[in-house]
Amino acid sequence: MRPSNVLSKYTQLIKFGKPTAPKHINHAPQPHPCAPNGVLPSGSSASSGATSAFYASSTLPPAGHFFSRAELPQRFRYPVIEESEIDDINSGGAEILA
Amino acid sequence: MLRASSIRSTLLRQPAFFRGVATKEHDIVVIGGGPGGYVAAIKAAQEGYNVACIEKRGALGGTCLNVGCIPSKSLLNNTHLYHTIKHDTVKRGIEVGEVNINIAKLQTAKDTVVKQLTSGIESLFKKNGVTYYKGTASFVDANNVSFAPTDGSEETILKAKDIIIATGSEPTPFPGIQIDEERIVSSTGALALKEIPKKMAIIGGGIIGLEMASVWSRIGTEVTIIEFQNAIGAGMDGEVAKTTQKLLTKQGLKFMLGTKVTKGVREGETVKIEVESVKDGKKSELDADVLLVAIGRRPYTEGLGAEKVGLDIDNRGRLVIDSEFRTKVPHIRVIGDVTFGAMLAHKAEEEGIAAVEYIKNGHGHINYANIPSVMYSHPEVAWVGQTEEQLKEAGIKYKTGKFPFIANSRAKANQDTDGFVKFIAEAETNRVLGVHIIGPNAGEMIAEAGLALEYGASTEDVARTCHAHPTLAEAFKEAALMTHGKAINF
Repeated sequence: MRPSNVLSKYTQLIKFGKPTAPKHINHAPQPHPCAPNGVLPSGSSASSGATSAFYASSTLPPAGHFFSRAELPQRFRYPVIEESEIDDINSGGAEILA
Repeated sequence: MLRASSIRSTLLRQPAFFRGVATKEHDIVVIGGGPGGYVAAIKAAQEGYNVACIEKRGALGGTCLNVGCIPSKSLLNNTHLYHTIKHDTVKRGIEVGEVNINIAKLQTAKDTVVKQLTSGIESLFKKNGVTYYKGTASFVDANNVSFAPTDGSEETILKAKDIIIATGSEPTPFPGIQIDEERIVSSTGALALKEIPKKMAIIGGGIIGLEMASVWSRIGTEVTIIEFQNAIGAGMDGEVAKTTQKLLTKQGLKFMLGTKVTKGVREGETVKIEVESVKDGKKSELDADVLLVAIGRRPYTEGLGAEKVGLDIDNRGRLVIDSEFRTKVPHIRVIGDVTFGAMLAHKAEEEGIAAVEYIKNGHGHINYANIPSVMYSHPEVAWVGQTEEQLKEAGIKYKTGKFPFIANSRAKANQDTDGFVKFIAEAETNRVLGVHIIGPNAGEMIAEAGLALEYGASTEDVARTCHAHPTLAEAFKEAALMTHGKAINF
């Protein structure tokens, strides 16, 4: 029973806590997501040649570009493996079954 | 104590305009008290700022509460009740006597709701410590706004570190057609008619036009909708728009699609309208007691003095902003109908919150890919996310699942079975890309779709979530299931 109890231990996926703003925010003017043709207020220039996200696919990157999993919101990234899990894997599960 | 020379030098340092004019300082001044402006003002006050909100209408709530969403929902709900009692009781085993509509009381019920809600916002301002200025606002320079009270008392200069413009929109006029708000009306006039017109023509088959068509048609008006495009319901999924048109036609509405209005003139108590087929140029005429011009809305910046601070305005009258709502003057931000994006109250509200978060934390959140739309006809139409047409154009592979309300137990029990729920999911992953609903309570049900989209849910996630029985929401669950499996009840 113990192994199955350990293996089926539930870990909540939604983490609660005080929301915090990202530490590094690029405040250089970017086009508003609904702005036609990526228009910006005069005197501004987009820092990365960004275009309006409104016209971009929400699920596929532009041709020739790729999403990095590390750039996606936390919920889409691989869960972080804890040290104890690494030990379990490295030991082939022997320590769990012991 | 100041010496006379000191006072003189202080006055000389002030711009000429300010001399002799009272000045008040606030951290943030919000111009406009509609859904964007009043929400921003309250949020900013909750974040600890000294906030002022200037509104010239005489009542808070903007177009939405005063002459838009709320009054139209009052009329829609009450005329639907009337129509149900008059035409839809016998088969339910209810026998009623003579049923009449009292247009004056119908309008009073609407006005009462509007009054309650707009004064409710005033109470919220008091509760949260927002200073409410009733009057017009006009920029003097980048940090100073001239406030002219509605009661004609003296102007005041309001100085602020941050300014949020939320001046909203107004009905777009139709070139060559003079609106008098009696016989030729905008949506504002259509909400306040004092008698039931025998015939009504509506230019524009968008949400405003179709909602007003529903109101007046239910209480006896013969309504014709004239639409330039070949489909109604701008922005709706194509299949949903076609089905909606069929259902509304069944209710007695007449549609002239692919038709251009060339003239609309009041002649005494009637309006003569000339139209032309877009396809072959064939001309025809019709007359109506009331002509409603509902071709859309345009940003409202009259009297704002945006030019005094050099704010950019695009060719559609929108104030140009960046992704943090900043204009070319970074501490002047713009939200709601007067800038980019859909002209929807809830979109403006989200922007109001996000704009204050940008001021406070330098970071805000709004997902423009997840802004729901609702048409409050009966059945209601609601959608969020992408349409099939948009996905085809973008070359994204998708699949659909569609469940009709005729197979839903609660809809059957309610004898209200028109419509369906349609899910659009990414072909490979089942990720929800869009949800489109025609049916009873669609406007409430779409909230579940919004949550699914926001959390990046798959249709399997939705289908594996237990939904109460018997509810209309079971149709939602089964439609999700049908993108990757078979429905149980259909």
